[in-house]
Amino acid sequence: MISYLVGLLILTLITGLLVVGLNVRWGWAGEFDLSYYAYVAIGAYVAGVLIGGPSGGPNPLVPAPDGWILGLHWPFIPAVIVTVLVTGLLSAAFGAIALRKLRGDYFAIATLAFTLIATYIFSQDYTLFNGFLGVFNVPRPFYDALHQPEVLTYNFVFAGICLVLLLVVYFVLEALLNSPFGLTLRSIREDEQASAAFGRNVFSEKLKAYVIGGMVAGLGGALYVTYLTAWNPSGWSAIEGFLLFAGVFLGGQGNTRGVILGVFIVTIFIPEATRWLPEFQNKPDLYPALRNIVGGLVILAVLRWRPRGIIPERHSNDARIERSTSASVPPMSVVGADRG
Amino acid sequence: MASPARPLLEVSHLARSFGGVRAVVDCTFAVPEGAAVGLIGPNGAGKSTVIELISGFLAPNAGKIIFGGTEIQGKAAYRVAGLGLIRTFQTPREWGGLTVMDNMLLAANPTGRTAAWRALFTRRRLKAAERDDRVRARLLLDRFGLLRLRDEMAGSLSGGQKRLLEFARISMRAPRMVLLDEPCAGVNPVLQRNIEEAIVGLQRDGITVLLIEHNLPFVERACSNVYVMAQGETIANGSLAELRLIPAVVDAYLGEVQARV
Repeated sequence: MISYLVGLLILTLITGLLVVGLNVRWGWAGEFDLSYYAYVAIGAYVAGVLIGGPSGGPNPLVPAPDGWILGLHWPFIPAVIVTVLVTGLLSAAFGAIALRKLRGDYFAIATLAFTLIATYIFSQDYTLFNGFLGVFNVPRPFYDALHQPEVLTYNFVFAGICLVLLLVVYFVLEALLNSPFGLTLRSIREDEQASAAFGRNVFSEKLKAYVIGGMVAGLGGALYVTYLTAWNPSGWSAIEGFLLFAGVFLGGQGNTRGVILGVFIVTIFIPEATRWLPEFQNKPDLYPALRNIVGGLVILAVLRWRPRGIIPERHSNDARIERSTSASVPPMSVVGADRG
Repeated sequence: MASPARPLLEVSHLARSFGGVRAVVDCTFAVPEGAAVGLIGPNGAGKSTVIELISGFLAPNAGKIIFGGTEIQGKAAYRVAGLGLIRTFQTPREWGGLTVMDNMLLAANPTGRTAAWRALFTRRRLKAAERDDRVRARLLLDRFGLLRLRDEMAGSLSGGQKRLLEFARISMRAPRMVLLDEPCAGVNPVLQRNIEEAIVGLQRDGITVLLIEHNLPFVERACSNVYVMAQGETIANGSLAELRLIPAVVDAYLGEVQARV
């Protein structure tokens, strides 16, 4: 039971990390980005071949020449840093092309194309990341350094690593969100022409958000591959990406805490809590279908009664700020004395 | 450099086509520093396109735009805004999902503040700047009667309040010049008075104004010099009283308006 809960905790932390990156791209900058999970996958592959050993050479199962590239046995920390840089650079390259001219739906279509191309290459090409077989035997971080502890003990350590990284990302993103940079991004989401009219370089601000999102995706992918110790194309279908989107919807687009809660509900809570649903004799298909129906109903209910999400985006309240600062700044305390 | 008599904004022989449609053919005018100049003409004369061209939202096919001694034709919109030339749109363009106060903070001059790294490494300075901005924004919102709405979503304001927020944002920015694209479109008479006062207020703050407007009494009160555009060309300029005596202007626009009144 404990190991089951720790496993859930790790998955919660990793998907939480993934969704806050998507929230930067979609929740703040307003770019409907369907390629987000491809960046997660690329992060997982890159981290996998940096941390893992070389592939076993020509694979007996497929008529292909090779397995995967690199296999450098790097330690966890430098591998994660390089992975984050790679997904960041890739985001910059793709974003520089797609964000310059494309808006809204057209941008979304371009990102869908990116995902499909990436999926096709990674699943068909057996020289880069071993096609459908994927990368495997990826060692888990600090496993040897900890003298190869028991699985449960180790999972506690791994959950700790995930928690620390999630907290670091969370506080960095919150600082960004509550800064003029974050406000500019949200203004671009609301009306990018008005932002340009007030002197914002819309393209470069969007690109920054896109790269930050891509770096978080890469970090999440690196954690994912070291937790699972393997990564292949069947692990990142379009469904995973849509679950993240559902999490953002449900939790509250734009709110970092909200989207973490949302993705927890969508990917962990609903699937786990529906295990108690009764099984019907002679109708083996009914039970899994019911689970999906319950999940759908929960999402519909939230959209109906809390359309801005469970924890909506927060806005600074100036009346409160004024009350808290007027004491320390006496000359300005008369301003707004007519507050209604 | 520029002699003191040189106008702040000079537009010469501006042209822009969309496919086969020649929206602006030959537009030439000048706006002296501190003045309020009107630009009138029938629908489809190319007035709004001129604003798009000056503000950098469109690039001209030909012609020159000089603002404060710098050529700005073809420059990106954010660069033009950075030089202190701010535009409005025919319909108010508030950031609807943000509060009125956040709209004001965004309108403040962003120079040296919006870089992402500053959010992590110069937080104290940013907070101090924001505190000053808030104080100024409260004064301005009070001036426009919007202070009690500061924590409402800008998108939930009435149409008239959105117009006033537009002016509050411009005052917050305090640019060198503002291009106003039909600020009175769809506005009731009471609010028109408020907007007129707002324009006078901008001028008092030393902001140069180019006003596009169909409400001629309004233009007459606000602007001493008015240019007339028709079919993409500037055909005349002078005070409205003078323009009423020019047959070409009456044919192109004023006759039509007077007949309607």
